[in-house]
Formats: sequence, structure tokens, C-alpha cells
Amino acid sequence: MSTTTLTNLVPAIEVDGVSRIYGATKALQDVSVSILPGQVHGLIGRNGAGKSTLLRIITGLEHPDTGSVRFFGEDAPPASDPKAWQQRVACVYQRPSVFANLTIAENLFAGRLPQNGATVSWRRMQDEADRILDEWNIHLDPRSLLSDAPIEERQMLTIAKALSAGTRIVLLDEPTVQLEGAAIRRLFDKVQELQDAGVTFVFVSHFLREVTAICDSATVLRDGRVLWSRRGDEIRSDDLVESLLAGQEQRRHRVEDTSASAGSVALKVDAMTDKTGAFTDVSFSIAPGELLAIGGVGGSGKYSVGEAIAGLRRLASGQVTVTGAPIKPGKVKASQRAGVGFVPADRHKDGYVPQLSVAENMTMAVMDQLAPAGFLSPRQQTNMAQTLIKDVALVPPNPKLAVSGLSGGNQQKVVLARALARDPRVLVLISPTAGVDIAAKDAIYALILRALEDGVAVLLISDDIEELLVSKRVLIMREGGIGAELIDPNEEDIVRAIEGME
Amino acid sequence: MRTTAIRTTASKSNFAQGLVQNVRELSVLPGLIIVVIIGAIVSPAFLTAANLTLILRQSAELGIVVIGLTFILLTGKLDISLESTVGLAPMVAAWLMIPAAVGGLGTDINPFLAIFITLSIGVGIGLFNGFLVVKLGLDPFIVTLAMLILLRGITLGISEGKTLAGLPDAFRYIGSARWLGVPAAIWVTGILFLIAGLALRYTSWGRALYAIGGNAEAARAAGIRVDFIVISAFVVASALAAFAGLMLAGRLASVTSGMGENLIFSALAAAVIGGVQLTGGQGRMVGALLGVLLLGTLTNVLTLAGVPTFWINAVYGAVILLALLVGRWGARTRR
Repeated sequence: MSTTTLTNLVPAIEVDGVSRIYGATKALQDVSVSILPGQVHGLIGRNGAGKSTLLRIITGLEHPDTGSVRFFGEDAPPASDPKAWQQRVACVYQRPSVFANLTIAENLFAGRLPQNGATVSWRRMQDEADRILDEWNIHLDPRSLLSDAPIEERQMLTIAKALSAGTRIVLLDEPTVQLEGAAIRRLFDKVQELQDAGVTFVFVSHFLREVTAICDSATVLRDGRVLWSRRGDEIRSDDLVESLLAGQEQRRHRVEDTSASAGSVALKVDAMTDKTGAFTDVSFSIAPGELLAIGGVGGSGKYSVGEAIAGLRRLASGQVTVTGAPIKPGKVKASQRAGVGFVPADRHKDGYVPQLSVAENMTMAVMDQLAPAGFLSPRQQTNMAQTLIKDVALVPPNPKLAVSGLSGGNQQKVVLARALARDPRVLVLISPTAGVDIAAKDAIYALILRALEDGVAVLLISDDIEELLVSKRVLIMREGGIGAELIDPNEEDIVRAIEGME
Repeated sequence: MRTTAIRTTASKSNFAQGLVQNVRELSVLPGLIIVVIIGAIVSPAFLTAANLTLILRQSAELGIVVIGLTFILLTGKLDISLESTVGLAPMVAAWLMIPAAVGGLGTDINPFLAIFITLSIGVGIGLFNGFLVVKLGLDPFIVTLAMLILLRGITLGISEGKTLAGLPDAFRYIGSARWLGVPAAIWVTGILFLIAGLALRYTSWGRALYAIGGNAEAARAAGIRVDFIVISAFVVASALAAFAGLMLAGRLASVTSGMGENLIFSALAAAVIGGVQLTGGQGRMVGALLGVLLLGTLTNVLTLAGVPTFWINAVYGAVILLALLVGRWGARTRR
């Protein structure tokens, strides 16, 4: 590629010794990255490695505690001037941030509508929009609403908008997650065409194949530091896989022998297909006291499988059986009564009710037992919560406290306690340790272990490779189906299976 | 930082905790006391048993509507058509009973059946509203705005604008009787507030309202039947509104086509002044009751103070605004 001829140029983006600290978390530590004009630069790292923080710093949404950012040799604009940042850098997110309720032309000119004196000149705007769309080979009517355009065209439009406004640097934050094959190729063709015209790209993706296909330089972040930064042929997929592995400092919580009683099945999922198509024909079973993990990229349908077992999704076909009894799909109460305990993916969204107390949140799923006739005894509720608080070692151990006042780890313990309150036979846990500190993580794993010892079947669905490694048996989902079953995998096996690079 | 703040709260005595919990509701109290003091200064007639009874009696219907509205607000929804239900439900019943000569249909039905019809109409309207909001996912404000206009229109259409008088005694009883020298309506409203307050605290239905208003997704994931509970809140609220209409008819000894008009604005003001959040999940019956008492006392004092009739609404609005500002200021300083 053309990079070697450009080495003597001033970098388009120069990040110099940048650190960013949130409370106790060092999101970025002394990160330096230099990207030359006309390059496509890959930014790689696991969840929490600091990619998003770095992107936010390059787009001016956040500002470094120490260090500096320069564009084409000039210091970055002051924090107080977001408009100046937007002129230099544009960012395309996986869900394009646009106005779906406005026309395509308005989206292209949002914030700089062509005017005739005090009024918007629709004619000039539409003519200009026509010209831009032609140039980009986007066959859409600028007068139509953006909500009618496919997601791929929306991403193209975001790039087109940025470049027509004079921006020469475009950040692509996992732009392909929502796209299918042909659309990805069209996007890449366009990126390469623009690259030849001198536009600089930063490309963030979990798909290593895409990185090797399109990038001519790349930086790998791990734990907020630059692991390495390379050019051209030095980027090989094997190195990339290795770079995503956690390294030595990893803490293993491997569940050794899951005394699975031979022959008996606690949870059986049989040819389960989601009504909205999130997953198709998924089958597996878990024995009492056994742990099964499911991994996969975002959009692979892994979370939906867990939600379906918990009764939060309707099925088109298939059957979920708990301890031999089939459960009525799509009914949370039915799943709970059958013995399913559930920890949802996003505790803020559907895990807890922030302004209610710890006791209320913990006992929410057992109201039918606690108040069979509808009448509740707060004392009984508090007593039950006290027991659960002890079980999950909640800090502070106060059942009356509003959950909104707890730390992230303790909020998650409340959600876990809610799942345990019914004495489940099956626990479905989605990313149970996401966004919690090490101490809480240890405590949560200890609870999972104890449940396994008590003969509970545990389904652990996670984005975090380290978390998947806790389990001896790991299923990898791809595009709504089970792509691989791994027994006793190491990190590399899992990364390869998730990336589809076996 | 966060944890230390929690620890200090946790270590305080139960009494202090209880007080903190109650502050939001109690922030109405200073306002109420000020209005009472002004009332006492303005007119010697204010602090008489007869006048205080009058205040309570005139607040009864508002109070009952506020109970129902609070249930709905707790779930994060809204029903502004309650005021039209106050008018329509007794109107239909009265229209069926009253002889054709004075504008009715003259079916000569049993007054107890008429009471039953009144309440059933409330239940029906609540089911309809709840269904539109929950099952069809329509915006509660727009749905109930349309219903407010529609139901009021039906009331006007049935009565042809006339006032239907000559209601049977049994139909008027609850709005006109006195128990132990105090209007029955006051007893009933008080008891309903008590039951509603206890239901919010001590039943799984009440707690579910808070859970849904706080985070409906989490409530669903916890196995709460969100749709059913929200619809039931609409049904209970509309049935209570119909009952308030019955009481109002009894007090006025007639049914007019404008009964309940503008009541929903006072009801919303009372609930919000009393600490019920429009966004759902927060507020208690004690607060709502205090809000009702504040507005009721205020109306009375404004009349006694001889505020010109045409200016009463302006003063009323200004005081509601002031009460909200004081409440918000109170919430700030506690942080």
C-alpha cells in the first residue's frame, strides 16, 4: 500500500502520552499513537482495554488528564469549542447517530443548513444533497426520510456528511456490526477509494479479519496501555489473536469438576427458535451442578437465548424443559415457577428499580410467595432480605437502602440475590460481572460456585473471554446459531472460535 | 465518596431515617400551616368547626380522584380523562332513572342498580383507557385527552345541557348523609385514603406500582405482570372517579353536564405538590392527602378573604406554582 511514501509527512493524528483516569480506574496510561494521512489505522483491544476512551479523546468528547492530541501538526482545539473538533474529526458509530425523523438532505446539512437570509433554502440544500449522493453512488432521494434508508446507507451518509463539511479524519467505531457481507464490502471499497484521496481513517473492530483486510497500520491496547503499534505487513492475524489474550495477570476462576450426575438433565433447550429471529434452532442441555458458558460477538444472539429461557422472549418454535417439565415460553412467571433464576445483561436497564430499597428489589421475584393473598408483611420481607444480604455479602448490609446508592458491584449482588431468592434449579446469568470491581467479581464467582455445589445448573452468557474461561464447556454462537462447542478451551481457542478463524 | 455517604445515613437512628423519608411529603406542611394562619387572620369564621367541615366536604371528591390518579402516576402513566368520568358516570345513571318529562329516559330502575351502573361505567372507561395505553402502546396523555373530550361530549349529548334533578334518596345518600354529625363523604374519603395508603405499602399490588414506575423493564424481568397491573390501576382510578361523581351528585342533589370540569388540574396539582412524581415510582398517599388539604383550604381562604371572584383563579394558580417551587427548593437543600 501507499504508506511508505507518506512516512515523511506530518501525522494526521498524533496522540502523545495521553492518560485518563476515572476514580480508581486508569482508562488510559501514557498512550501515544501516531497516524499518517491517508492511512486506515486499526484500533484493537478487548472490552475495557481503553479503545472507547481513546476514541472519545480523539473526537473531543473527553479530554486527557495529561498528554496532548495534535491534528496535522496543530494542537487540538480547546475543550470549550466542540464545533472546531467536529471540523477536524468525524465519528461513525455502529448505530449511526443521525436524525431518523428528518430528510436525508437535512441530515447531510444538519447544523449548517443553506440559508436565504433568515429562511432555509430547501432548493439549494436538495441540489447540493443530490450532488453528494451522486458522488457517493447512493441511490436515494434526498427528500425522503432517513428512517426509510437502510442502515448501511446511513453510515455512508454520515461519512459523506463529514467529508462534505471538510473533515479529513473519520473514525469508524465498529461500523460493520449491523451490516451483512455485501454491504461491508461496499463500505470497504469506499473507504479505500477515500483513502487514496487522502482521507485518514481510524477503524475499530472486534473482527480481526476485517482489520487485516483493510488496515495498513494498527495499534493494540491492553489495560489502558499500548501493547504494540505496527504498520503494513507486520500485522498478522496470529499476532492479533495473541494480542487479545489477557496475558499473565489473569485470574482464573476455573470450575474444576462439576460433579454432573450422569444422565440427569436440569435444563434442556430443544430446537429453540426466536419469534423475531434473534436465534434459530438452538439446542443444548445442562446437568444439575453443571456450568455451561455461551460466548459470541455482539449480535450473535447469545443474550437473546438467555432471555428466552427466562421467559422474556417469545418463541416461534422449540421447547425449554426444566427438570423434566416443559415450560410455557414467553412468560417470566412460568419460567420462575419452573425454577429459573435470571440475571439480565444490563442491570441498569432491566436489573433493578433504583429508587426502591434493597429488600424490595431482592424480593421482587418472590412476591407471589411472600404475599400469597396479595398482602405483604414488610417484616417478613425484611427478614428474607437479611438472609439474602448475608448470602451475597452486600455492602452495606442495609435492607432499607435505595439500590441507587450502592456501588456497581453491590447493585449486581442485589440482582443476583433476586435470582437466588426463589431457590432456582437453573441460573441464567448474562455478563454477571460486567462493570464490577475485582472484589465484587470474586464474590460473584464464589456465589456461582456455591450454587453449582448445591446442584444448580448454571448457564453463563458473556462477552468477556476471561469469564467464559470459568467454564469447562463453552458454546460459541454465530449469527443466531451455535457455531462451535469447545471442551476445556484456552483463551486462544475461544478467540479463534468467536472470530471464526478455526 | 459515595460509600461514606451511605454509611453515615445507615448509621443514623431509625427515627432520623423515618424523618428523612417523610421530608418530601412533609414539605407541604409549612405551606398548609401558612394558609391556615392567613385564614385565621383574614376571617374569624375560618377556624370554626362548620367551616373546617365545609373545607373537608368540598375536598372529598377531589381527594377521591387524587387517590386514583396517584395510583396511575406511580406507574409513570397519566389519565386526565378522570374528570370527565366524574361527570359521565352519574349522568348516565341519572338519565336512566329520571322521568322522561324532566329530560331522563324514565326506565325507573332501582337506585341501587343505578349506583352499580355508575361504578360499572367507571370500570369500563378504565379498562378502555388501560387497554389503549398498555396493549396498543399509545401515549397516555393523548389517549386520555381524547377521552376527556369524548366523555364530556357524551355527557353533554345525553343531558342536552340540562341539569337532571329529582334523584332518588338512595342515590343521593352517600353525598348527603351525615354520620356522627360529620358528612358521610368525609368519613368515606378518609377511609379510602387510609386503605389506599395501606395498599401501597402492604400489598404486592401497591409495591408493583412503584416497581413499574421505577423501572418497568426490571419489573417485567422480575416476573411482575406489568400490563395487568397498569391496566388495573386505570380501572381502579376510573371506578374511584365514578364514585366521586356519585358523591358530587349527592352533594348537589342533581347531575349537571359540567360536573368535574377542570377537576383534573387541581388533582394533578395536589398530587405533585404532595410529592408524587409525574415520571413514576415516587410518592405516597400521605403527601397526596396533604396536597388535597392544601388546595381545599386555599380555595376556602381565598373566598373568605374576599378576593374578587374573577381573580381567584389567578391567585390559586400562583399559590400552586409557589408550592411547587418551595417543594423543589426543599428537595435541593436536602441533597
